[in-house]
Amino acid sequence: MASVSLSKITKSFGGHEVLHGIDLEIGMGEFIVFVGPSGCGKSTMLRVIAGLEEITSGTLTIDGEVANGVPPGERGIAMVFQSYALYPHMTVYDNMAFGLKVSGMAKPEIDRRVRKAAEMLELTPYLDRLPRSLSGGQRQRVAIGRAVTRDPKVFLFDEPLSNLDAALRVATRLEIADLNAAMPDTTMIYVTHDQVEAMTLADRIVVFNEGRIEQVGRPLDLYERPRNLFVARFIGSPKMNVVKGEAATVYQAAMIGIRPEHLAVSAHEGLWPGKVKAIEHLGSDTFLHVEAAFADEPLIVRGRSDVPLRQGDTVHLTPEVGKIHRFNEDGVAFI
Amino acid sequence: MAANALPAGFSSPPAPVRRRRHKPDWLVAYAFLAPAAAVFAALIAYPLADGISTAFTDRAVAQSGHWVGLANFAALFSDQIFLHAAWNSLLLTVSTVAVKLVLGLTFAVLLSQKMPMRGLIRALAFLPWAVPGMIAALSWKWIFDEQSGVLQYLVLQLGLSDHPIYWLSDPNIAMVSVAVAMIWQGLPFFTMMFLAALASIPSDLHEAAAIDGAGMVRRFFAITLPQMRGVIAVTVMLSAIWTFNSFEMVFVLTGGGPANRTHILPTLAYQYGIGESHLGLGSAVIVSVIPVFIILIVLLTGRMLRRDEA
Ligand SMILES: Nc1ncnc2c1ncn2[C@@H]1O[C@H](COP(=O)(O)OP(=O)(O)OP(=O)(O)O)[C@@H](O)[C@H]1O
Ligand SMILES: [Mg+2]
Repeated sequence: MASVSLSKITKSFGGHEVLHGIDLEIGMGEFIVFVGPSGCGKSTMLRVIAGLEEITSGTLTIDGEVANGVPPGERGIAMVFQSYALYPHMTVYDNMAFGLKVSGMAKPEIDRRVRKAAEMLELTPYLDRLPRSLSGGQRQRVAIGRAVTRDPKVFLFDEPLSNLDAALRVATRLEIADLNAAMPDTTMIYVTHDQVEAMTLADRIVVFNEGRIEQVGRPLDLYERPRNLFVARFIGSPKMNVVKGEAATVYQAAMIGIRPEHLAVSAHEGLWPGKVKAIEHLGSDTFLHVEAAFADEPLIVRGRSDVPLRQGDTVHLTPEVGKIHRFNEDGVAFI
Repeated sequence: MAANALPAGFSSPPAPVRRRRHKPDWLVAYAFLAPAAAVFAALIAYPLADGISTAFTDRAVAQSGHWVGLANFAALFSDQIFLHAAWNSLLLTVSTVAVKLVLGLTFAVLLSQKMPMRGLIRALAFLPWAVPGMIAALSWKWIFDEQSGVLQYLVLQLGLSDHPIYWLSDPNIAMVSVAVAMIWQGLPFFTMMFLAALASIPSDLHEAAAIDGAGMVRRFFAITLPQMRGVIAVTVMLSAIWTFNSFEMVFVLTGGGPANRTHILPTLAYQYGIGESHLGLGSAVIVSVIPVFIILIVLLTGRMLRRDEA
């Protein structure tokens, strides 16, 4: 049985439609990640599920029951906000206990749950503190703890790590993965801009674009078999290279796409000659930007450390067999 | 050293920033405050000191008077009119501030909702604040007029009462009438302060609380009120000071009568000092409440400073 089911959901703000009929079935315990460019409606979708925005049309069911019009507090959901949204005048303990108190739970049970969550998130020493005396990472964990204590059926995250620095992001990402493993029956829906978070956390990724779903699939499926040019360019960093014209015609396609790691580089021989315009050393990887006569933009190529190259060198690129993505003029992939 | 390996342009160490040895910040602050302090001394401190010292003399209008020590205060504290006026002042301040607090919160919450013509309704709600005090007082005097006033007319026409009501000449009713006029006058300040405070509460706190299952009422008490605590405290204390000191409403509406029963301290001070030409006694009325004000002001500034540091 689906845990969350969206059927033809639309959402308008004062006549301006921002979600255009979303259909999606999310299974119990699934970890779903919403990605898409800024303004495409990810947060709005999440807030519709939370009940913070009214549904304009369509049906939302949570755990088998229609949730349209049900107040947020009665949907069995919990949400972690990008801004954390901790209650500033309440201690960490009270922040985590508030929802339970509202539900009328007995004090000892509240205490047990709060302490258990605090234990799990290493917040026990801070239970008596106010949020303003915590670091960003600690605040984030309190926000997660507040959601955990409610033992929700569906856990919603809106870019929960975007205010953390890189190291803390990695650590918290792993904590969220652990949390997901510890709550196998809890469905999680997670909005992010971060490719790595999407690829590593998701059971399935949902790619949004301008209020529509472009593709839903397991991370590697999206990476290896994007249904269209938008998904192909959106998933993966650096982006997939896209070439039009004659080079594509050879492959009986209007456009072809090839990922940076699927182009072999050689100094002397290969299919596509080009000139190295820039070299980016990232430590573990080296990316070359290669200008080729047939391509509108420079091709990005994952270089090899054993082929020493410098800016201005001429190189030859050869796409790996079977790794070329073919698209028609509308950007739809030939499968 | 690693720095030596850096390409040119990175290798030269940054030029040391030459720190000017500067004066301590508080000296600069005092320098900037000095002109204001001078103006304060000339325009406020001197008259204030003069007024306070007058309270210890038997000075009358256009006479210099002699030092009488605490005689004025002794007279006041055995003066029923003074004691009654002090009681009226306290009662009027506490009751009107309490009503303004509750109504102000209610109005602010209502006016912060989305509704058609919100701008117009807000402007109307703030209007009393813009009416000069004396004009407001005269308008209310006309409303309460016992022969030809609007209120009397309405009450009799609608049959709410079969006899005229003595809005201003029955001392028990008069205090209520005065309070109503003062609430009308002071309410916009509360509403305005609270509206601003409401607008500054991040909406995601309410959303988080809604997800936590809290309904509107619960959210108001668990989120809104605690978030407004500082603003409420400052508003109440400022308003208490202004209300306690306000003069024209009582002066215009009742003049302290009948039989001195509706005096508050400012109108009594005026009556003793100017009306009866006993400046020393009039000053003493005001000076006698200075300690109350000092406490209020210390509380108020302490509150503001604490918020400053938060
Ligand atoms: N309360 C609102 N009133 C009017 N328009 C809104 C409102 N909330 C969102 N929108 C519009 O809806 C669209 C989708 O916004 P949304 O916040 O869902 O995007 P997003 O995908 O979360 O973007 P980001 O990645 O930048 O967070 C945007 O065009 C936005 O301007
Ligand atoms: Mg968003």
